[in-house]
Amino acid sequence: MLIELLSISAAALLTISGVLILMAEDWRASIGLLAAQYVGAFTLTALEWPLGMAITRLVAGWIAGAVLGMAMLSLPEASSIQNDIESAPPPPTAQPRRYHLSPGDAPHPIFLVLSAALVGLAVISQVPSLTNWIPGLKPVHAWGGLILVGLGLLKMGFHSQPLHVILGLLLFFSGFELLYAALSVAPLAAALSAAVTLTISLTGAYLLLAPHMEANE
Amino acid sequence: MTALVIWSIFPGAVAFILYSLRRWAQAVYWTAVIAALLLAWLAWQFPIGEPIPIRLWTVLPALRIQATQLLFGGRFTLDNSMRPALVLIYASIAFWLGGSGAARTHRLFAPLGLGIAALFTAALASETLPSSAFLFALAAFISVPLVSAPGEPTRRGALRFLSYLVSGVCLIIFADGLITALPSGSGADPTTGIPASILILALGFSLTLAVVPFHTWAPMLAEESNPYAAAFVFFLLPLGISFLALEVLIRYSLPGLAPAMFVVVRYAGVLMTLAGGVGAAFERHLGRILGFAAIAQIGMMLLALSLNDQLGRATPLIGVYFAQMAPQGLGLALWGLALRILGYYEPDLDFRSLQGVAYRLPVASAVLLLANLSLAGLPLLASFPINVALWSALIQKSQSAVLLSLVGNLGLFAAALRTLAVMLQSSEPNRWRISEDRIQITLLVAGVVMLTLAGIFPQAYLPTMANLGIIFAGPTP
Repeated sequence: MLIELLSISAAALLTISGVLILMAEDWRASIGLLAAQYVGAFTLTALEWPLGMAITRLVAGWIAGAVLGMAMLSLPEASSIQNDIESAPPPPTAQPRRYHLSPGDAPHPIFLVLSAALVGLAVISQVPSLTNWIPGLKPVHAWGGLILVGLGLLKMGFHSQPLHVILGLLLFFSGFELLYAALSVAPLAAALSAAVTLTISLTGAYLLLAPHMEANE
Repeated sequence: MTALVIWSIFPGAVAFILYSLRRWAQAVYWTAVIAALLLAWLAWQFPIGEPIPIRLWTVLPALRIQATQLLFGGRFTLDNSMRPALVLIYASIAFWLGGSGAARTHRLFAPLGLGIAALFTAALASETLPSSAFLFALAAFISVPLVSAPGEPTRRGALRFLSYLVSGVCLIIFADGLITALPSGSGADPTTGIPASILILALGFSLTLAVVPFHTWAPMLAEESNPYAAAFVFFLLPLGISFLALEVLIRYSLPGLAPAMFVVVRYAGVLMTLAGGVGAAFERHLGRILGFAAIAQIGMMLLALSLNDQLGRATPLIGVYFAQMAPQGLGLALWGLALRILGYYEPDLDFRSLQGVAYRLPVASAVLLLANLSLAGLPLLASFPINVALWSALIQKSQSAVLLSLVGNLGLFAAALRTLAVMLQSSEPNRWRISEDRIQITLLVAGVVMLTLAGIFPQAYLPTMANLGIIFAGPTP
């Protein structure tokens, strides 16, 4: 009973955090939500895998978020604006630009909610067949994995800014990891998938910072 | 000492050290080239798993390179059948790194190139498909800084490349998990009878190999980044992924995999050759033409893979796939280098901006055209003999595939003619002058000599390359 409650809460956390990451324009909120999403992914994985292996997911995910956060803080414009904003209240008419991930090209929130709802409907329709198909895959895991894959694809498709794309990739990869956890419990695969999560974030950090580096660096 | 330590962990460590020392660009460049050459030579000379006498001092015991290494519960095996692939990987890396100085790539090129080779080797050594795919994904991530240089804005091509690659790798791993976990034939599509896991596997390979319609990142990448670095990625990543595909088709012989898969691979190859050739013929940007040519070459690679239509075992025709790599690598490297030199002097590589460029940069322009014509399969140039061998073998299996791939190659030929016309077009009278520096001229001329010699004397290297392929794809001892 407790395990069921835990897994349903984790799946709900994954869904809410995934939808909010899709909609968030504030990079701090996005990274905070990413951390919450990895808590949900860890909880679901821990129900399938030994705790020691499952915790690598959580640690790798949190480090990935930290790497992206540090990269955002290291952006020259963001740092300078941040100091100004912290010393003075934001103007009432518009949000300070540093809080936004995209320069005004993000789709309308209603459109994003509708897209996420469509993904949710598609996932609901596919969960029974997937659980019939893969022995040992529980509906909650199938839901969690598929919803993250779908939301990750939406995030990647709607944006062309590096941080958005990297967040989408992390969502997608996290969903894939959840589905794959039901198929394999190999320590090497767990170690390599943690390495891939970290490398996605390092690549993202590089792509964020590269335009501000010296050409001969 | 294990083979994995020598050909993967050691170059990985060298790459990391060179990355830390990137301030000394020349030293890093030469060290990386020498390390890659040394590793290729070691793979060529020293058998794995057999005693190697050290002749310096008779008392010294014979050295033995162990084939298998255990890591995190996984087995990594590099046996004698893998040595041809090791020679090929490290010789290719040395060749590409050698040209990177003249191509004015950024300082990360040498350490990252060596790191990519180390990861590729580990991926080949891994005995499980998921680990191999994860390691290929890591190699692809490392290649992102090559195509998105420091100081330049992040472009859409690099992001799209990254997205497609991660998605493709995830699908390949997921499909492998399904194939391993499920009984054969379960989850089959009722209309086609093909298991869904095989369809997922095919989709994964399509995403990673830029099979049409997932090919859009290639022209974008070639347009937006250093053409030499882009050509390096176009050569090495499909090569690595095709090794993985070869292992799936021949070594593992996964349950549920039908011989019809080879027909699918063949038509994917035809589609790519056709799309690449037609795209190149109608393109007006030299960088994007390179991207389309790379797509056509991946198509030719898939066509060569499809010749070996025996599940679970290699036939001698697999030699064609292996032999193709040398002329393709040479052609792409020369094309990338020549284009980079043109781009260095004329930043806009659009046709409008390049009118009359042949008068100012004659060597780079001529080499670019020759590389283009070589990849199109012009007689007396490097790709011609192997293309003829490919088409001769393919015509016995599918005449339409040969015809359509010839059309694709004709598209590349048309692109070369259009480029030539633009390069010589000028409204004012021009005088020929050589603006390239000596190192650039030396490398370009050496490349053209190799391109021509490889086309005139194919018997000098093609049988060796084909035999290497047969050894690599043969049954593991």
